[in-house]
Amino acid sequence: MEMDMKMRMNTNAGVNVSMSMNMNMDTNVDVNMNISDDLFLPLDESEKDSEFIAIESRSFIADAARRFSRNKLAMAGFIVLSAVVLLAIFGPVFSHYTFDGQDPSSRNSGSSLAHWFGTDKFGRDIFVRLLYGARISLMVGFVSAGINMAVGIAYGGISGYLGGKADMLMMRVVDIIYAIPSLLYVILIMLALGSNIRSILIGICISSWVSMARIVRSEILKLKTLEFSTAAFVIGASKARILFRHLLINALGPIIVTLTFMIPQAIFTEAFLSFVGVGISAPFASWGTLVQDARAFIDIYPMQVVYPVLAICVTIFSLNFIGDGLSDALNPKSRR
Amino acid sequence: MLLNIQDLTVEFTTPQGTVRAVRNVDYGVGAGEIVGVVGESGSGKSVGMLTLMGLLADNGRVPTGTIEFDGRDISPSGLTSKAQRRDYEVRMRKIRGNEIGMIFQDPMTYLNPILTIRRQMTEGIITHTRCTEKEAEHIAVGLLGRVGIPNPQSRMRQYPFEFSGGMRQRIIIAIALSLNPKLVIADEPTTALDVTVQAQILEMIRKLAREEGMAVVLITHDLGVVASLCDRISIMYAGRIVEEGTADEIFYDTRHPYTEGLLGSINNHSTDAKKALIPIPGSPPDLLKLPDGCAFAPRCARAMRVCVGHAPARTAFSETHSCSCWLCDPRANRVHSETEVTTT
Amino acid sequence: MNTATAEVQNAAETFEATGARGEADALFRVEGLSKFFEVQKSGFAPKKYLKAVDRISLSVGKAETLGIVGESGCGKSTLGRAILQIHKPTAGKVFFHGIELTGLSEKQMAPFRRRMQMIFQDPYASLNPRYTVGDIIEEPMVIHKLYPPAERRRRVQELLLLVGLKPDHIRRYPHEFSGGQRQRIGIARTLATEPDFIVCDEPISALDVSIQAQIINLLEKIQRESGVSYLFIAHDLSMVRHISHRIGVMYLGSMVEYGPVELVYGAPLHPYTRLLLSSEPIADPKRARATHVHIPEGELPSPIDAPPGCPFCSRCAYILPECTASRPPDYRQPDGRTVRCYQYSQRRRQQRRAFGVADITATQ
Repeated sequence: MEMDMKMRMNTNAGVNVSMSMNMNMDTNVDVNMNISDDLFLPLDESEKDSEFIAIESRSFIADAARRFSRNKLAMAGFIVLSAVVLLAIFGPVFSHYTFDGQDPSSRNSGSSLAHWFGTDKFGRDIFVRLLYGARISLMVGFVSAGINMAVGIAYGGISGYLGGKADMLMMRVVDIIYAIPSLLYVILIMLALGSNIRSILIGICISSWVSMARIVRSEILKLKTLEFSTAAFVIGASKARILFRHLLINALGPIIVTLTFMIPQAIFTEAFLSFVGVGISAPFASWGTLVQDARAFIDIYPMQVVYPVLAICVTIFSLNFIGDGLSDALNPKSRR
Repeated sequence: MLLNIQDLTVEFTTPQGTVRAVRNVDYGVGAGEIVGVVGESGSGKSVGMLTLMGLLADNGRVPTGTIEFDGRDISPSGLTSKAQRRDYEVRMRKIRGNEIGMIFQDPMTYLNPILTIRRQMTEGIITHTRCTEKEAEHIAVGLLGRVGIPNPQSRMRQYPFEFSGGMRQRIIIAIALSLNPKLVIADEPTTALDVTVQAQILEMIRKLAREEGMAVVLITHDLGVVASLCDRISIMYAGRIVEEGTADEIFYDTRHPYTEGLLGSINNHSTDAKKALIPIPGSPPDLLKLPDGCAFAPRCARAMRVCVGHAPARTAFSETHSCSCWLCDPRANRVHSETEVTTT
Repeated sequence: MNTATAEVQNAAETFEATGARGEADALFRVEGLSKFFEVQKSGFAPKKYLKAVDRISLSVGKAETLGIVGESGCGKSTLGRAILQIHKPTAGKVFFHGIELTGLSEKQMAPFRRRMQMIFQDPYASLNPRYTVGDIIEEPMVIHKLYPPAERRRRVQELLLLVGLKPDHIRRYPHEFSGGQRQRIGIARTLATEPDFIVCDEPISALDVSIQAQIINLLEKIQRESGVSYLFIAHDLSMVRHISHRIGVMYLGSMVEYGPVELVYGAPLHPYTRLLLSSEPIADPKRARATHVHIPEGELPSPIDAPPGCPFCSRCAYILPECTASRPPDYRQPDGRTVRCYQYSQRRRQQRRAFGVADITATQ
């Protein structure tokens, strides 16, 4: 009667014997002759682990970092951006050129060992000016993103958490700010406060925090209906505690993602402003002013335009890849 | 046998590893039979049926298994070439919805919210039977009446949101029945519904099976539902069928400790005395890291050393009743009685 | 009977119902609690109300479990939340240890929050996913400044052991656990402040059958050891019977029947209670075959802007003329139960007695 029997060994789970038996057999057949009788003694309680958890413990951030590191494009972006940041910080230190050091003897020279990216019309080293420009551009990007984050989280968080009339009022203010073209503010502020980094930062931040506030508010609105927020209320947590310790910490993913997309936006705005001539003024350099300076000679020395444009592109690309990677890493469910 | 599934294994590839959702499972459903598949979340009770319907998610694979429906082979395993896969799809398209109907758990999401009931009902009828729209509408009105929807003519023109949960489930049942399937797979059809509505839906399923001779596979976690409705019951745990038999065999001649545990965990409100609940300790195993041998052993009060490392074989007790547990091995009794003698 | 006289009689009988209840010393007492939600379809249409909880009175004694059953949308969860002052009640009073909670500010509530807790339905949503298990269970102690900070971790491990988890689970995150394990973490959190009263809001509905019994047994063990009281909300009739001493059946915001568990399950009075009990599937094939199941008809009507009569009258088989006219009050029965049904008014009872019929089914 072993005719109908099928036996199969599964290699990965030890001896995993499975068989199907003809149903009209009424006796129990022993196929496992190799199993000795003493195996039929009761299993000791200590040998059972019925609350066993198979997966290893990892915090949210560690888990996200692991997912991020597996994303090739995002990692490439991260490496390139790190290189840009490091070059911007340390590059000028190791160079004997300065951003305003003129050398009338070699003006508009092409790439050489002495001047990697050549020189401009005043004989200033373009590579070093590019690095100084990176300092300003990146600083504008990071600082404005930081300010936006702080203001946006506070405003959006409070608005979303309070809800009702307060939320209505606070969101209408946001709508009004949103309705006026942001370049208008920036240019007005530049005219009023002068062309420097501080006024560029104020100009960018005064309007762009609202998108962060909106994101945070919608996240908080969603999160505050979840039971863990009620649970926090029931155990007696204060409003501030619920908002900051429970809700915002769960909105971290979308906040970080929004943040990484705000940085390139700010860099772009700064470059644009400098290009149209209301940004950083000479002799300081930002990537925007470098393009602007070289624009007049675009026919003769096109490379002088290409370098700063490439710098802007590479940085913005990297930041966007990082942003995409972070949004995948922080919201694993949103993929596909 | 209307449906015969042999040695079915289904795996899913996830970022964490391979999940073995169904492992070497056999099912058989005769014509006109109501079969219950009982299991908890993660037991693989739904996956097997989704595989049969060819509705497996992209990351699912079927390494082994043959499926035969009404004399035709519809195995989804071993489809290596593109032509084979296309051929399988063509075969399944004729069967799916036409010969095998399906009722899903959540009546709220299954219907398309922006189409009228009329549109959603006649669509399938027209594609499978090539009748005119008028005829299809006539069939649909008849079906809605049969599943107990009042004024079917006028309610056909309404949208899903205008129906309650119970009514929506009736519409889904009507759609499943629209082509007179030989087999209906009901995946937790009443879990999302209230008890009073559940009673109505179950009664309807029973009537349809009895009157139309339709076979039904009822997938559920609720032993109460299967007790009154099913001819045969399969109990699943961690991707395997641990015990199967008629309702009476499962309830009154329980063999597997897991089935015992399930019965001990429920309290029948109609029994006179308040009985003590005897729950199963611990938590279900992680399908990513199933223990060697019997997956239930870590939670089993009567586990033996053999249960760890050696998968139990299936033992048949009658033509319908079988159980996969080492306790059914004759040596288990012998050793157990010996130890009891020595300890007492 | 015209409506004016009916109302007078209702008022008298409502007095009879509530006045007779000598439960002033109960741990938790709720009097005529209502919670209405405003629902408005358009800005110009007249306001509509959803009577989620309608004039409900109940009490819970020390170490007692009051079960609340009802179908989805009957207001049972809202009742639990209104009692804990998560939703401010529209009307009615809530007393805890004899002190009125309604009208207290959140600051004044703070000392009471420690003593009343809640277990939630969804073990996936009720734990903050960014916190470790240790942080989750420790938080109530931090908020209420219980135990010296150094001792709290040890206390967390004690609680984990109490609910059947391992102390080394303290550093894990909620998503690494199964549903039943998470629910036990939630229970450990509520126990951290040693409450007297816990609202259990469908704590087993989302769990597997084998796990449900674990949780029920755990809650019963905790009650035996600490004398905590439960308000146990459920839609599963059999499990709620198991854990409860008394039971309240809710239908569309009304507590239709309220009394000791043996009476409500053994000899249900309200037509809805009967319907609910006969709908529950019987997990016993022989008895299921032997029982003639009465299949109920109809479904829950919309609770929004409900008509004036008894909310159940659209599905009721024993309907009386007064049922459609006004909402019935709570009628106290000789056996101590209250039933919100005109069939059990003194007048109707006397009528039945005069005709020599005991049960409402016989009057048809």
